[in-house]
Amino acid sequence: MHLPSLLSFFELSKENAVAELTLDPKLKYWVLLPISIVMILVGVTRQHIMALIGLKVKSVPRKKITEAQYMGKAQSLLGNGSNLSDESFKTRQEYLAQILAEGKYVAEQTKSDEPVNPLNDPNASDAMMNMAKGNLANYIPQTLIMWWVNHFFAGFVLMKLPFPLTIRFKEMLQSGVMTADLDVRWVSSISWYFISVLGLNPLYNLILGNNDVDALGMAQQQQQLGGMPGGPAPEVMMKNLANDVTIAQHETCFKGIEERVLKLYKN
Amino acid sequence: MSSSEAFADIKSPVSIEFNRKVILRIQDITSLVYGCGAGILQLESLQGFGLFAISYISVAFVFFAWFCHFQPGKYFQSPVQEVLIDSLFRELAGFVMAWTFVYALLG
Repeated sequence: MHLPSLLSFFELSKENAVAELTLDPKLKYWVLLPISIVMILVGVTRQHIMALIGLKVKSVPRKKITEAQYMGKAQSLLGNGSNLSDESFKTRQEYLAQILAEGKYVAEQTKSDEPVNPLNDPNASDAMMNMAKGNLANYIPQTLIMWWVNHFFAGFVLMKLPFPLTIRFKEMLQSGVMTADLDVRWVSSISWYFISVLGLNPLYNLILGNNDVDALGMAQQQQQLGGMPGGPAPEVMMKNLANDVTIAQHETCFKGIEERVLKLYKN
Repeated sequence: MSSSEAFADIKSPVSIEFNRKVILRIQDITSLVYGCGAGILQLESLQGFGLFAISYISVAFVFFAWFCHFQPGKYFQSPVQEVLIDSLFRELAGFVMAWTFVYALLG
């Protein structure tokens, strides 16, 4: 499409503009601004309430951490063992295989053959509680604001949208305005509510920003330590790791390193 | 196998998250500011959305050039997906909100 034709296209879209209504300028200051301010403030408050009621720092018993870290140690030996020399790999291999096979650092001997009910697990129920709280904190304020907007600011045209909409939106966006032929671009206050519900996320990110970084790191840590509720028992995992470590093939990266270094710097 | 190949697959979730936050913050602020601009200019329908498309793409390009030094693959696992597609509707909604608000305030 050439530039002139594009421009004329824009002109055309401008031309079929609708008949102008004259709105009371006070509508902006007494309806549009209050709704916006209330919505922003509710979002900020919700964030702070969530921070207060959710995500307490959970303490994990030391034994659990030791257990997890020994398993991590075995895994990293398997993954990065090629960076060790032969002797040091052997030493670690023997030590870890023995320790893990013995189950010396298993935190608690689980009763065998008894699948843990995920609903009874305190960690899992905590997570579910948090999720429920989050949902409640989302829905209650939204319902309240929607009711408030519908109740206080109903029955008049508030603003003109800068873009045309299809006739199907008329029912929703012009609720309470009894004009059959009015263009859909003239909308009542509930549509400003909808637009800001959809569009406020970037603004919240800029206002609140940054403080959820720590929360995320903490959640990750907890997930690592807590383990999966339905996963295999740590004992079994340790036994498997011990087997893996025992049969691990080792090829050190120091093999023939002198020749390689000399070759690298020959020129 | 050289060491750079061996460590190519190692990824830091903290850094991935951090990079994502940086681009999200930039996109948030630019889409709101451009939305206000569209409202101040009293743009309507296609012109406004055209401004959004231009601003969104140019911001992504400037980000690639300035922040990533033309090597977005170093900072994102799939640059186009993460920078251009993931946050498209979020930024569009933010733009439309700012645009509508300023348009109504000044109009």
